[in-house]
Amino acid sequence: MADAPEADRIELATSLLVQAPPGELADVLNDVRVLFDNDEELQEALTPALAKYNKDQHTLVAVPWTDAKVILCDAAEIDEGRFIDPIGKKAFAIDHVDLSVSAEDDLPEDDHEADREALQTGLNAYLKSHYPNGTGAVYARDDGFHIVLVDSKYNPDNFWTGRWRSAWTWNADEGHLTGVVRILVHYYEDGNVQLATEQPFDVTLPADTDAAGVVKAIRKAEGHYHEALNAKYAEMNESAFRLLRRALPLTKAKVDWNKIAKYKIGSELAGKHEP
Amino acid sequence: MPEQLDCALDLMRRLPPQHVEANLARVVDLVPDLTEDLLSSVDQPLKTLTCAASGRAYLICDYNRDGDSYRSPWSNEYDPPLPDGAVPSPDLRKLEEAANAAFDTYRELYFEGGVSSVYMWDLDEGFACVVLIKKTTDAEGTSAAWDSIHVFEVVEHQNRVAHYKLTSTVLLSLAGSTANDTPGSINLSGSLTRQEEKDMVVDDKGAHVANLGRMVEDMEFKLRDALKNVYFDKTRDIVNDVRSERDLAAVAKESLMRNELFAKLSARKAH
Repeated sequence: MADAPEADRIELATSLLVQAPPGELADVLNDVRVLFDNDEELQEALTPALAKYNKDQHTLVAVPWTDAKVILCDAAEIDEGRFIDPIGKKAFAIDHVDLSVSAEDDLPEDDHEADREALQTGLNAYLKSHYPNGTGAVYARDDGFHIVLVDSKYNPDNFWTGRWRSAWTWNADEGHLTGVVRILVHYYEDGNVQLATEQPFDVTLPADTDAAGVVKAIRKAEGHYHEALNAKYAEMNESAFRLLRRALPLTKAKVDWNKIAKYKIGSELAGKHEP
Repeated sequence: MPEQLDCALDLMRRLPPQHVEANLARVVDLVPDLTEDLLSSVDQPLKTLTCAASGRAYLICDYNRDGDSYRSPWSNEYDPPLPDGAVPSPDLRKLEEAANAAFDTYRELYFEGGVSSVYMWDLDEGFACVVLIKKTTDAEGTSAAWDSIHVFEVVEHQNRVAHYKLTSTVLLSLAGSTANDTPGSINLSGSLTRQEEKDMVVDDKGAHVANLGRMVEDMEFKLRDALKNVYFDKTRDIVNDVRSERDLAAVAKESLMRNELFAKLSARKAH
């Protein structure tokens, strides 16, 4: 069988790579590297693939100017490969492969800083009350304020990882709050089980809603969603799962295999005819 | 290349099971030499064909495939027709027919629907067997699928005892919307695998069917329990670990109060 052309092989490799579950990028990258079997060729394709992955997953990076981790996401990117930390008020370049930070620069004054800071204060309080390991940032962009958060937990010793990501956009002029929440869970002891959810939101608020009101709306929407998700779990367990396969047959007794198998088969295999 | 196979299998254990077929195709395109190894070791959702001779549905997998044709467990014929396609020896075919009839009853008792197929092939010191069951449902906004894949290696000893080695995988997928009135999606999918080995008495050839049946029934009992636990408790707990539904301040306060109460009670007991 002829190998696929090199360009197609890169596309195949990177499309596998960007599906890495939370906290498992290094393992997946190692596997893909061995399968691709041409490090030099792959290296060039890694930056665009990992740029997409890092932004999509709200990847956290350590930076020299603060102990707090900084989020990579679409809203934080001001130029290709250049991101902002609105809390530390820095702009910086990122190497998407090793997550090293360089070319840091102070952010210029922004007219929306007071409003951004008010949203950030509200977001911080919300994170503290519902996200045990949460990180969040608010970005003032041309199309409104972007409110982004992430909470991940990796437990490789017990074969699981999980991540909650939220990305909200508040357009104060239109009084329009949109958002999307995505959850990924991977459980991999003697198997591979994954939960993937995606929930869009579209909320209309009065145009003059203040920062507290916006964060309150986010808290309410996410709270309702979380409640609905737990309810869905219970429903899938009690309905869909039971409909697929019963725990015991209708008779409440295990199968009498001698009756359904041995008698008939025994006689057939012995060459006898059924009575 | 053994290292490439190990990496491919590790990759398939990590990437979303929701996309196992597409991802397997990608890996095979990337390393065509691994095709046979991967197709025989990575479990994919089962597909159904209809037997031309009997009109009955049957399940297809790598074990009833020869080239591009699949053998029906009901007619023993390949589709598309393959005159010299591999078939079990006449005795084993009788056992295969009997097993198909027995597992068809088993399937009806536990699944109340769905499709089952059993395939057997001869080995030097015994035979191998795969028991497949598939059931899908679509109710209350959730599409669900259960695929059982039980692979046996049976070694027949002189003393009327056979050694059964079973590797079982159940693929379970549940997909729907979070709430009936929202466009959001939830997809909870994957598989769990377990192994079991046992020696059992085989009075006559037909006893194999009952032995295979008991092992499958016990295994599915265990796997159903494990799936229920992992899918509906474990993954839900992990979601609740990355976001607390309750206010963490209230949770902390309650835990503090509980500790204080406990300390007071312990102090009282000490008096």
